[in-house]
Amino acid sequence: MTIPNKIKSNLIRVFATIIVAIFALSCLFPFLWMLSTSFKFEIDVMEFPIRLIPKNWNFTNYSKVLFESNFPTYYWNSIKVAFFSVAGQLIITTLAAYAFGRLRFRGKELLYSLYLATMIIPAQVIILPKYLYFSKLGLTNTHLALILPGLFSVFGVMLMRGAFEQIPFEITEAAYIDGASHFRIFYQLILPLAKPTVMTLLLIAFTWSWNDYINPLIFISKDSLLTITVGLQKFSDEASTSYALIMAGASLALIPIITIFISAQKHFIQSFASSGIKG
Amino acid sequence: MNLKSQSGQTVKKKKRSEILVNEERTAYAFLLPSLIGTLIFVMVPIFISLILGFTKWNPIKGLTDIEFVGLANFQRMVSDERVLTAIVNNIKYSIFYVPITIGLALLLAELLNKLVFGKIPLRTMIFMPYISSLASIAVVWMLLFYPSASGPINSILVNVFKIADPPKWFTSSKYAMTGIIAMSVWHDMGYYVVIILANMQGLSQEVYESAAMDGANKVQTFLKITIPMLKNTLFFCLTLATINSFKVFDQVNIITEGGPRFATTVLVQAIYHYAFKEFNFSYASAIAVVLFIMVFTVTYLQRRLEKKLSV
Repeated sequence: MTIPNKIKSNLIRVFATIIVAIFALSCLFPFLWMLSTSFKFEIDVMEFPIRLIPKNWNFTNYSKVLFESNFPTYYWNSIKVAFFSVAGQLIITTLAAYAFGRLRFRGKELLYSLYLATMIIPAQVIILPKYLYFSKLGLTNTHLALILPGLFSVFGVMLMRGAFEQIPFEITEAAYIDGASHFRIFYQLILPLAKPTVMTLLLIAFTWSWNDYINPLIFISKDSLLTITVGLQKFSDEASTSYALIMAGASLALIPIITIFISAQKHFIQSFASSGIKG
Repeated sequence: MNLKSQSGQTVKKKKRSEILVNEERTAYAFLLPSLIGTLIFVMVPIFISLILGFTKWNPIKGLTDIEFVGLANFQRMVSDERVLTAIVNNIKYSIFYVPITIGLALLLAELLNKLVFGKIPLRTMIFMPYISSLASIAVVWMLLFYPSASGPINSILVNVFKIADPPKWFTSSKYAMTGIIAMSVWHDMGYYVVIILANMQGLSQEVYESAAMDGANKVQTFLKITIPMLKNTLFFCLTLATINSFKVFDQVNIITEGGPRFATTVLVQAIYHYAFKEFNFSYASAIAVVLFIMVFTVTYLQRRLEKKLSV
């Protein structure tokens, strides 16, 4: 009596699905718990059995976070910093990538390998000199300190160069002979053709900027200039044991990026996957 | 006729060199912002860090007060409990974090690859922790692992698993690191799942078909075909995870600030402490140099091994 192969492989599939589902649920659980706790009364936070749907709903946590704390300011600061660092990074890295990917010039190979070599330098190793710069220039406690260093992403150049190189050269040669300048070719031909990779860089750059913790921690001490990550930490220190309130803050901090992620999840995942695929 | 074609060629040649000059000019112009930025914000800082590590300097007094002290900062580390514990903790963290993260990621990618339905939503759920900021999610984990018996995780341990004396997690020097590692694995796993899965889907199906015809079972195919074919990807993931594990900071600084006592102190935490709590930039830079050497060594070994593997 052997089990027919088809049933056997179906059984394996069911088993695999269950295991993956268990892991997926444990990935989701902290988020669900955070969200449900944010709607609870303080007294119900540590209840057992854990209820993911609150017994008594409490909406005042959110109004407290939004109207009685600095959260809206943190939000605004995060949006501002993310906007300028992403926009600036896109411009600067795509221009450099066009040069490396599509133009011939002396010293290209050497320069590019030097460029790539800087990628092994961990940001944490050079943060002290950056702090010295910024305090010398009076840039600590300004958003420029958060925006500036993020603009020159070598990773971005590498990613975009790969995409630009793959666009056939016949297309741009024809345009060049017709008298188009390199800037026009870059702007009107190459960028639109590389749109998926531009989107990839945009999503990755946004995530990095939005989630950045160490830079605001070090460069910003003024409360009114903090971004959401350090802002949340400060908020939760102040709220001390009002756990439901802290979870409302954490939910508010995470909701924007999670919403963007879920609405563009396929692109997000492809982006991060492609950042790790070795050619 | 002959003359005409020759002059035509010189015109062409002239035009070609003009094109090249123009290309070169454009290239430098396009590169300029990025080059200046990388120079100012990466190249110069790394040299400043390296130099500062060998000095004794009070930043308030300005550059005139800088004094070279050779290896003194590094000698101090040898008897500095904070730094020594940080190095040990970093190694401890890496030893557990790297294999667990990559192992689970490999397993989940393999299972996901076999799924017929629910593949996309399950992948999305597994990836979700990675896009959420460590800083924000750390606040949630702190509360989930609340040290008393009434904390959410502990209440499960007490009531379901009948553990009378549940761990005090982040407030106990015995379990704090375990909690930090668990959170990091939870946060990063999805990233590696996605990378491994993407590379798995690119593998040729023919090998699998012939293996199935030869009667190889699932485990055999996984061990004998999938893993060898994914060798480069896995190797890349392992080194990336190792390098990232050396840089661990956000969750540690938020949840435990390196404590209790030095139980979760890591190198970046030590850099932060000496620079911004004690304002000793020279010593902090020396620690940064140690971190850099660690990352550099792993990267170098990776390159060497990769060359050997690919031959």
